[in-house]
Amino acid sequence: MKVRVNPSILFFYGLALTILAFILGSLKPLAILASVNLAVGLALGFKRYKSLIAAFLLSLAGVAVNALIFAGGEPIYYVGPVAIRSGTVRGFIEVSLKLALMFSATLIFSSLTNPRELLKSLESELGLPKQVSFTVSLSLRLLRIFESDISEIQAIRRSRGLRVAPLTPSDWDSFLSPLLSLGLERGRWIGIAAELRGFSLRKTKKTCLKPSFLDFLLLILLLVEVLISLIFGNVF
Amino acid sequence: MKLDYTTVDLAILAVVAALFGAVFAVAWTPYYAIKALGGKPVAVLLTYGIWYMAAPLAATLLKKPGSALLGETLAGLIESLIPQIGGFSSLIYAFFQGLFSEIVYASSRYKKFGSLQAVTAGALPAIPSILLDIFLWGSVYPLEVFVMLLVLAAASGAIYGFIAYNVAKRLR
Repeated sequence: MKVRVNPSILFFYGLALTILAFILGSLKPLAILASVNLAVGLALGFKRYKSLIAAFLLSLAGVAVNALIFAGGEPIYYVGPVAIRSGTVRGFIEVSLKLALMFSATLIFSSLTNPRELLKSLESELGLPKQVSFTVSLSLRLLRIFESDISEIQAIRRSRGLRVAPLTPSDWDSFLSPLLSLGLERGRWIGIAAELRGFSLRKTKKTCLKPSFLDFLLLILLLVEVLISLIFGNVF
Repeated sequence: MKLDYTTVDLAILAVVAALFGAVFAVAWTPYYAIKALGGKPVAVLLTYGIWYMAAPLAATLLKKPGSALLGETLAGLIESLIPQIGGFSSLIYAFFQGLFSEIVYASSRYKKFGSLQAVTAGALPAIPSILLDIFLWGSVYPLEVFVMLLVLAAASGAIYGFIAYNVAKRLR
């Protein structure tokens, strides 16, 4: 049975979780929010996003290394010559929980909806201006085209003995110029074609936002999470 | 000074957003590669400015109020809609970075879109970028490290802002 949640509500839920990840400073509410949402996110998206989950776990290793090198405090334990300081463990846990909370928002959103449904919902139900939804939906279509352009440019650079992945500012200059040249040409003609087809005269079909039972459940969950953050958390 | 956006302007904004949505995804590889070889300060100096480029590029191409903010924010929105670890944080970073870039063009009442404005519009987003990093990483990095990263990120942004201006000027 497919879970159907309103894409706009999912988007705001994900954005709210991300904002909470930034502003919460206390470990208790972070742990509660991260564990609940990560459990839901993994249950929904484990099969589809295995490589992303692996990348997330790898990023935690990077957090651990940074915490070992930079975190302050008195040394509390030694592993050979490496001192583990009092700030290392707390720093690692706090940053990991914040990243876990942001990642869980991604998993939940990406598993339950997609960008096209989101744009349709934002435009028709929440009154997002058609200019913005046109720009974003065109961007999403162009993204795949740019990805294949990038592969072509990388192949050409490889055949000319240049770095495939741009590393220096001058690499980026030579990498971006052909991409932008192709893109601008496409953009101008797409814009003209859209205008000729009456884009500026198009009226948006407005519908009322009708939250379902699952939508209300999600909003109540968000409210509970915000309350937990306010009661237990050092906000900022 | 025209305030309204034509359909062609919107399509060009879409091009900038899609281009940088793809570029941001590619840019993580050199960032981590340089970080592994040269450490975080070198990686910040050589790559952080890439994430600030969409704003001066969009502003130089369109020369309209709001183009810097829209260019950067839309690129961040596209990046956040691609499933990745940071998720919606890309949108938050991009919005504030775009806002600070927009301030540069607003300060000249949108009459100047030259190289100086592009360099400054590339450098200024380092402030919200590092401030947001403090919210995330403040328990790991000491303040002195953030001050150093701010200077490096601003320098990187200035370099890439200038590159964005040159690329846009050649193609306009």
